[in-house]
Amino acid sequence: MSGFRFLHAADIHLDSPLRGLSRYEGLPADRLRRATRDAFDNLIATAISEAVDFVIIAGDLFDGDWRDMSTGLYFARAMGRLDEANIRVFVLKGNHDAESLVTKSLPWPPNVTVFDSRKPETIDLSDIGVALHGQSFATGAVVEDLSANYPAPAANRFNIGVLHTALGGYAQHQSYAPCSVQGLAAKGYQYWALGHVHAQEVVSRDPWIVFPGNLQGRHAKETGPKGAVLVEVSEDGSADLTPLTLDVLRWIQLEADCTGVADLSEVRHRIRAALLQARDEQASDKDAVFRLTLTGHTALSGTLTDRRDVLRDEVCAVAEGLGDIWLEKLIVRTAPPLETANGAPDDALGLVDEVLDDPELLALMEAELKPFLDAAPQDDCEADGLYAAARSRDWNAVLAAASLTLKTRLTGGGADADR
Amino acid sequence: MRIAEFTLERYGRFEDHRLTLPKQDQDFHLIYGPNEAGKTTTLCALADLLFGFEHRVAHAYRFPAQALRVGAMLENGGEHLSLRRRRGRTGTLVNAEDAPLDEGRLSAMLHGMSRDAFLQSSSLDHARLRDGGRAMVESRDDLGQMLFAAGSGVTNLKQVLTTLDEELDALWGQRRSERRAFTRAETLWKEARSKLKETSVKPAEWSRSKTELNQATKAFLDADVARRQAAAALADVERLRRVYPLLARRKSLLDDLASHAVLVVPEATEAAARGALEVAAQQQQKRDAAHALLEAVQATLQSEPDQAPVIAVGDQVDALVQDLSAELQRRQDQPALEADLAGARTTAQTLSATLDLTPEQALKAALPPSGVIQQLRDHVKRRVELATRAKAAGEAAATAREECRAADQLLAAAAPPSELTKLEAAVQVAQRAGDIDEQIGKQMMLAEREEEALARSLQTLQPWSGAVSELIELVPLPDEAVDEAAAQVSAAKRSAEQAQRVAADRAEALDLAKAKAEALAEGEGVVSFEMVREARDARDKSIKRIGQHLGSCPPLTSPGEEIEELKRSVTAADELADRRFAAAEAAAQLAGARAEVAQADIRHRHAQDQIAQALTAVQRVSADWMARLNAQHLPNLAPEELRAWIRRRALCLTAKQAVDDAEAEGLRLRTRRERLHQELATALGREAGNASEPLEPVLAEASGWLEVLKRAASAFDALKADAKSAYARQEEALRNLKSAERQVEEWQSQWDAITAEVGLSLQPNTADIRLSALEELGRAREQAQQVSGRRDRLEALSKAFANRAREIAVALSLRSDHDPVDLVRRAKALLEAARTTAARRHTLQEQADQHAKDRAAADAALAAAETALSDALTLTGSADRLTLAEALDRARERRELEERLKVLDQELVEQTDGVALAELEEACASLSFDELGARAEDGRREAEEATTRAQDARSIMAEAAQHFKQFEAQEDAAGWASEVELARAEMDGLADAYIMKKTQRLLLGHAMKRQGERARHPLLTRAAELFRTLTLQRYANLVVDRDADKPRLLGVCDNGDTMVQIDDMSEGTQDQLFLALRLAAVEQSITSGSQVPFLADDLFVTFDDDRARSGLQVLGELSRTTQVLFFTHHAHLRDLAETLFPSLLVHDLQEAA
Repeated sequence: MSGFRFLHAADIHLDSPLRGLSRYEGLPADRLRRATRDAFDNLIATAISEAVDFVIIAGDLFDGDWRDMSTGLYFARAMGRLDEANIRVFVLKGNHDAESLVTKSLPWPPNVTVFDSRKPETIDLSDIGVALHGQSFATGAVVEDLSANYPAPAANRFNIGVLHTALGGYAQHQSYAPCSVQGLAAKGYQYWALGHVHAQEVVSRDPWIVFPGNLQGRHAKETGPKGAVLVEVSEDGSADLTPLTLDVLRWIQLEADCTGVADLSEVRHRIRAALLQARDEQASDKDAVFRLTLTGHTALSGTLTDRRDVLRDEVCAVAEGLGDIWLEKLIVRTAPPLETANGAPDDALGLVDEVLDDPELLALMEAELKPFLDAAPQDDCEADGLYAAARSRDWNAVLAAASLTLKTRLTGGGADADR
Repeated sequence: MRIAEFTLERYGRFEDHRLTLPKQDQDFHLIYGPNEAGKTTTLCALADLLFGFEHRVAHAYRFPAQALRVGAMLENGGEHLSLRRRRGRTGTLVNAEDAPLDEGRLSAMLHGMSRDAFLQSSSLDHARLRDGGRAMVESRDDLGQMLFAAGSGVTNLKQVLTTLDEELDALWGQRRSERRAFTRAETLWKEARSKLKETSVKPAEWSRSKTELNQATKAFLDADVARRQAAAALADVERLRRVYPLLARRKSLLDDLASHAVLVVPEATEAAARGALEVAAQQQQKRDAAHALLEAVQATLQSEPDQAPVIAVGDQVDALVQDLSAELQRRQDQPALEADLAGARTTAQTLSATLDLTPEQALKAALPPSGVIQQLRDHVKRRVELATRAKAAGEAAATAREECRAADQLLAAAAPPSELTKLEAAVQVAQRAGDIDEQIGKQMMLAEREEEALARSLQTLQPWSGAVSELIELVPLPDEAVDEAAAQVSAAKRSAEQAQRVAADRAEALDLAKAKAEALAEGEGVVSFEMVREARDARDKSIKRIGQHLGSCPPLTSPGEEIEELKRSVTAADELADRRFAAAEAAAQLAGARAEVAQADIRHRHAQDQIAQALTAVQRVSADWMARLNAQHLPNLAPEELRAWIRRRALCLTAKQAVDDAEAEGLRLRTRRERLHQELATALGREAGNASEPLEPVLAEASGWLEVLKRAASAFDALKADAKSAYARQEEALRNLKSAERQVEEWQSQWDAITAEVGLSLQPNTADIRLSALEELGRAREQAQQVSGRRDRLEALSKAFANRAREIAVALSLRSDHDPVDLVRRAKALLEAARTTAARRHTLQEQADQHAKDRAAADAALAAAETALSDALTLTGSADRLTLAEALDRARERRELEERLKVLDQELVEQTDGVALAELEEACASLSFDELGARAEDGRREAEEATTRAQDARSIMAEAAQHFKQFEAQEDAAGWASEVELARAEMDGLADAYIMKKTQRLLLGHAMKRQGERARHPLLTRAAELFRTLTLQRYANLVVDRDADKPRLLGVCDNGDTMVQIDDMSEGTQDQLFLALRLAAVEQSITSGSQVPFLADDLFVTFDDDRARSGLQVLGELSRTTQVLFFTHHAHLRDLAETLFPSLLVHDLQEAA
């Protein structure tokens, strides 16, 4: 067996849009929306520059509900560049692209091989002594252990198992094609090229069981560097793995502790400091989108919540000043100082506290908010915050937030305090 | 305080009418009386009793005003107060002997309440209920303000609420609007989704497009091959057609060359020779022309004279000519300068006279500097201003005085309308009287109606008939007598009826006793003593017969049967005895029942006797009653019937009283109208007209005249105001005048000081002229000096000019005694002529030089050309230039033929497309040119058809390629997908904001509602309870709406949600609301210790039966805490009250009358 190099990538979700980002002045929407393509271009460029022998894409190349053929054609052109460099590509269909019409209609370039979805398929690369075993998802919801039917390792070959799986289960991912580390290890392959889990993880080094993570983070929960792994196998069959960062846009979650702040300028100061640190430590030199959560106990808690819209604009302005970093969402999760949390019973604040548990008020909430909730789009959008609480009729959570901001308004610190 | 007894001693039409109002658990009293029965009179009397008689309302139409009296016994706790009220100004509260009583005790019982307050709160009729209620709900009185004041402490909450509403409206509303942020975001989201759908490239569509492109490409390639083939065939034929004429021309050229002699002159040689020939010809021509011209110029030159002496002084002449215009100007300016100098000196002399200076002083004396003059002039100007102001003030004062005088004259001429006050009072009195004509008309109609009512009432008295006067004189039996008779008749009848009932009862008891005894006797379990005795007798007889048989006396015929008989009889007797013993109780009952039968029979007979006695008594009493009626000429009616007859008689008398009242009221009104007629006539200053005529025309006339007088009075007041204003203006003008005069004086002081300082003696009014003269003098002196200097300089220049002119004249041999100007002009003419001649000579000389030069050059060029031609002459063998030219022409023709052949060959090479010339010549030799044309036409058509087919295929292919290219280039779908997510995130953010603000809104609204409920006044709470009861729960509550511009009261319907404004309630419900509010206020007043009777005069006129019942119940509840007097003319309300309050005392005013 001669030595060889290959790239292992997965969960590219080509052309799928970024989620949770709302437009505002200065947001380079066109630039951001190209993130998945730009990251994919990085992958192709890396494959060529590293002169790898082949590339493995272990599932979810496309989004299942994404029916735009131009995405497939873009992919085909990219594969053409690899073909010119004599780089072969092995694609496994995962839960997202199993039923993709794009996948079915795409004229795959000659250097691309798609694993069969009816049974495990072995591709023998005799020129470099590699055997790839894999089975694509036939449907979007495969719940059996596909690896169980994978063939025994080929003799005199470096055996690579390609599999889209949740392995033993990950909290943030649906449990598709479940299997175990022991089961995979028992197969006798030298390398398991897995996909589905969006965080990069080396599950095992002997044999290699690797999740490369997704190529580009697409929402606020997919933070940190994203990319693929470069595997270099020497003549004696030993492998060395190098994580590659290929993403072009970094998602960051950060918190600004507002404990004890007494005025809004101090809040802005703390936000700027937190943002500066996050940009330097997490964004590196890439574009970045951040979700900012304000925390801590402060007398300005209600003001911050009620003035969130204004504050959001200010945070955007601070971010713009730092360059190439944009706000995804501002969450105010501050709380008032413990000693002043409740209003005196005789004043207006006391009145507000007093009616919080009134069943009549809860019924009123249901009746009054129903028209809006009915009129708002009834899709399966992953709403959070008060909207999600209202949709699940968690009125206590809604009331808790609203009472705090209302009391702030009543004491002259609300949204219209500066107007 | 409550009224225990109330007496209308003499009041209205009442006399000694007493209402006794005993206290009960429910202190509720109903005073019933139909219209005109005196309810309103009684209510007035009660108010007059408590607060004194009103002066404007008289109840003295039956009794003199001084005789009016009402009295009462009041209770307050354990305290009793007996009092009477008479009409008058003081001491009207009196005791039984008309001695004055202290008002203090009564006032204390009333807790200081005034008549108005009493009428407003405790003595209500329908109108006052509505007026008072309306005042409360509109917060026009204290109670209303009390209602709305509570709960208004958190006023800033409403502002927050309004802000929230505005913010919510900007976010989302049920009615879509693009001004709302959420709607805008949603619209963008939907558009992006739609665009995403539009721009997405469908895989199947892409595949189909790809296939179409491939097919179109293949079709195009095939068509293109066919096109090429047709084009090649056409090209062959076209080639032959092109070369056919060329080949013919080539053959002709070759023939020409063969016939042409050979003279080879190189082209360069030929060109050089031809050039030299042409040059030689040209130069020969030039040389001849130059020579002729040279000779002509030299002849002309010799005829022109020399002008050098004149030219030599040319510069000096030019300088003089240049100064000539200046000299002429000097000569022209000289007189003006002299005139200016003389004028300036004359001005100075004139001004010196003005300034009282000698001519010497005028030219040499020191003058004040211009700054001082300007300062003095400013002072003078200031004085003019002050003088102008003083004059204006004086004029204004004069004008104001004139205005005052005019205003005084106008005021004196106008007289205040003295009769205005009197007429106004009379008209007011007449207007206050209302439409008295209509009142009189109504009163007359009322009197007629009362007459008719009286007639109807008399009809009800039948069988009695007679006149009203007889009826009045008729002495009815006193109630006691009627009652006694009725009681006797009734008692007798009751006794008879009782006796009959007793007899019936006893007959029934007798029948029952008999039936009982029979039943007991016939009962199976009862064995009577007779039965036992009979059985024992049968036994004893059998024993006796057996004994006799044993004693052989007489022997039995059948002893065996007898023995059996004995056994049977013994057994029967024993059995009966046993049964009797066992049924001893039943037997006893039977015996008792029989005893009862006997007793009932006796009682029954006794009752029969009682009936007979009672009937006899009834007949006796009736006979006595009829005898008594006949004795008093009363109709023969039973006592009860007579009582009703007496009541109807009272109604007749009441009707008669009403007739009398109506007539009296009519009389009163007519009297009043007569008085008003008199007053108005007096006010109008004329005799009163017919008093029976309507008052309205007179009143209208008086009102019209009153308006006229008022306008006159207004005009008079305006004149007075104008006069006052004029005097004020006069005073102001005088003040201004004094001020101006004072300023003039101050100015004079300052002026004197300044003139003394500068040493000038100036008068203010002439100062400006003198100052101007001083300035003018200064300017004249300066001008004279300047003009004199300038004249001297001009004279010196003229002298110098004359000297120079004379010098030139000598040089030019002119006479020097002429005027220098004339000399200069002559010198100038000489110089110009000399210069012209010199210039002409110079030009001729230059021309001669040029012609000589040209001739020499032509000679040289000709020689050179001859030299250049020597080789050509030799080559062609020519003798001279003429023969040489002919030889060159022949050589050129040969060379041109060769060139044309060469060009033709080149063209053939280009047109043959590489095909050999021989091959083409061969092909052309076998065809004619026309045949080639026909072949070319066919080929061209075929080629065009193939081209068209190829072009069509190309278009289809291009279209398919374009269509397919769209897929390749399209990237918008990803952009729109991104837009979808952007818009969706925006919507989520706005949804968060909306839910937050909406919840704030609901929370605050709910808190405010709670606050409102908590803080509402107890008065409102109690009123709401009463309102709920009065409306039979149709309304659940009353709330104060503070969201409106002004707080307002709303009724809450039984569903708890619907709010009804007061104006939207029915009239009846409004009355119930007003009553609830009023009763709540009364209860509050009672709680605070102020307890006075509550008088209600037909308050339920708009209530239906059920709500009237509730109203009575509410008043009944009130009567447990304070006395309630309920006045009504509705019989159904009286009946209802009697049902609700079993112990109710009804006071019938009709009966009382």
